[in-house]
Amino acid sequence: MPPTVKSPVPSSPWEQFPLPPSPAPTQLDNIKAQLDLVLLALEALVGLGSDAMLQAAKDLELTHLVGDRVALWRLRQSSPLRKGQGRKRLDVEEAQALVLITCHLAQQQAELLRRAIALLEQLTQQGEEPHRTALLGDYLDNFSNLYEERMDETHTPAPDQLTHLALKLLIDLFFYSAPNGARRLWLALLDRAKP
Amino acid sequence: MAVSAIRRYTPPTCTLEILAKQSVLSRWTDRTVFKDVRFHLSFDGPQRPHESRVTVRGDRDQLEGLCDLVEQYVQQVVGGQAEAVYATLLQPTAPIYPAHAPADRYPADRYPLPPSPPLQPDLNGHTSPRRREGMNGLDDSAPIILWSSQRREAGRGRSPYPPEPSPTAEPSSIGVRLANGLGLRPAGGLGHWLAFGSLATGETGASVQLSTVELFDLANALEEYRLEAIALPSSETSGWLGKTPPWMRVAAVAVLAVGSTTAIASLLYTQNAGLVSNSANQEEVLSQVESLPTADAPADQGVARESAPATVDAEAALDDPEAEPSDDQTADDQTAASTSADTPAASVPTDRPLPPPPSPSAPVTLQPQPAPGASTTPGTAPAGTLPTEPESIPPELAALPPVEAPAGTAASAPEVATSLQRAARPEALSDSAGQTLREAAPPSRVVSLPQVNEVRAYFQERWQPPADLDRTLEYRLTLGTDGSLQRVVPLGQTARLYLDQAGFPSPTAEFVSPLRGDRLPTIRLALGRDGEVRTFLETMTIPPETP
Repeated sequence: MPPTVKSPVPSSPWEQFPLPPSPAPTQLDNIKAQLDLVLLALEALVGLGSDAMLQAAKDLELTHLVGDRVALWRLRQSSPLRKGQGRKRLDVEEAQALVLITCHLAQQQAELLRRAIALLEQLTQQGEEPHRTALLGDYLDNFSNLYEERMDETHTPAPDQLTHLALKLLIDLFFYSAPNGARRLWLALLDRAKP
Repeated sequence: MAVSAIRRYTPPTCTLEILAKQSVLSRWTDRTVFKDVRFHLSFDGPQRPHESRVTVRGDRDQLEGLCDLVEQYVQQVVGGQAEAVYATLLQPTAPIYPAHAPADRYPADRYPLPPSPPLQPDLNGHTSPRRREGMNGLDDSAPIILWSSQRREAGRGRSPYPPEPSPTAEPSSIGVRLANGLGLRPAGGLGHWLAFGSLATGETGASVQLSTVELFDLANALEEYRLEAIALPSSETSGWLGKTPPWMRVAAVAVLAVGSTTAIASLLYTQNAGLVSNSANQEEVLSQVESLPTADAPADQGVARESAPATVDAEAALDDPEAEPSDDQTADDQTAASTSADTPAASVPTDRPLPPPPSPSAPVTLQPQPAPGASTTPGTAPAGTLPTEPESIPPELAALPPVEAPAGTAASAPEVATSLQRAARPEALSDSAGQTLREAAPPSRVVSLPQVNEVRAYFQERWQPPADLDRTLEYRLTLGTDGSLQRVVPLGQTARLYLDQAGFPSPTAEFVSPLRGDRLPTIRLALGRDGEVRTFLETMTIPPETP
């Protein structure tokens, strides 16, 4: 009988995340802001709301971290770009939970993201504005509206910069929709935690 | 003797085909262990004009280098600042696919990259170190080399990839270049230059421009390969193994296994059985088909020679236009010389993250260790002891994303991906229990599985190509044990559009004859616009046990 050997199974999905080497507060701010922005882009593209995010948390058995709307709102409110006071700190486990939720949702929208990127490629090569198509035009409008609605005015970039940010986040989301998207996003966040 | 194995990874816009021998070590891990790996990578997406399709061929080290390259580059793109990515990647440019355009309508020098806009501070007060020059301080105003014959002609006349950065140039953070010449950098218009480096031949040219969708698919194919397989260094390039007789290799591997765990050893060996004969028995079990022909050495050598690329010197291909192979004769000449020229020793930094070290309850250590005193070079390092910092490591690799930076985290990277994949896909949890094993599908089994022919016959009777169909439709079919059609995955958007017209039976309808055994085949079906129907077996999968 041939031996059968099983690989060690991590007891939790985020045990295997490489941990940042104690980032400074300003670097943590980058992580928190970026996580919130990626989710904002997903909201703008798909129109999904907190229900979908909570359902994803449930699917991934993360309800002990993101159990209800208030918990979700508090996590996202940790972004330094957000309006409001009393910002909550975001610990590593919570950040990892948001990463998993984001990429789970991105995978669910993989086809839409692929279509959006293909369209963006086509328009860019033709030298046309992304706004000329419904899919990208709606996305950019939604992103801009959500950004202005939720973020502190002092952090609002110029319209062109906001468009560039939205398109960059769309490309990011596309790559996060891959099976290893959560690892990509986490590593990208750690990159932002570099001094 | 190992069993010939083949793997195909077929995202919509590329095909990665792995030709290898499956090592007996595969029995002791949840991943397939390959040796003597060769690969074919084709960029054959439906959007790409036929004449622009490219196939590159290489060996294990080149494949590992490609994996590293794409992984690092994608990480740079997603980790980059918005303004910098916009400046280097999203600037409008000429079409990637100038379909139906005669070559002279797209002279390369008429389509320069537009200058990058001045960088602005990003959100959160970030400022980017990226400059107008683009990757590695290269000049982004270099002409764009377009598809079709333009690409090849350009390869003859000049380098389609800008020259190397000067040593004093400030490195830009988007773009990766490996020591063997493989490179990736933004091309504008959401395109990316992939420099083939040592993979380049006269047919492929020195580089190819990929769309972001193609890059995404390439990254996924390579990632899928990495998650599934462990590639041992080729016996042709591993000195101490290559010079020993076959029986000693088998014995050495077996001794390693014995030393790794007494539990495994007790299963492997009996009191009266010798190492060699016992190993042979294991391979028979591995093959699971008595009559299955095993690859013998001459055949393998033939395969390796047949697929050996006509290599050109990486730097010369990119920087010295004269060095570019200009015709088939040159390619042939170089093919003759490629046996030694493409030996990748010390040329590819294989900084692939390694699995975590085994715990007392962990699987058997798979890494064959070199004999004491044997020198270990990057090109000859056994699997699992891949060098993390070869001497020839380029500056780009020295600044890897954090996954490679701390040794502890690097060691767990593949498992990270695996666990995340499992976490994100609950249905894949059975993978972790080792219940879903993708078995090698040797060519003989491809031919012999009758259901493959039955699927072809089924569609040959029914397939009526629509009049407006302009390309071949491809689907991946999964059969149930009763021969029913369990799942259909359209490969590409066109295939999805014509799904209803392809004539698939309902899941409950009779499709092909019931299967023998418990393995479920996955069959690739190609429906041509000219009515041609082709099928081939992709994988045989053991279904997860239901509790």
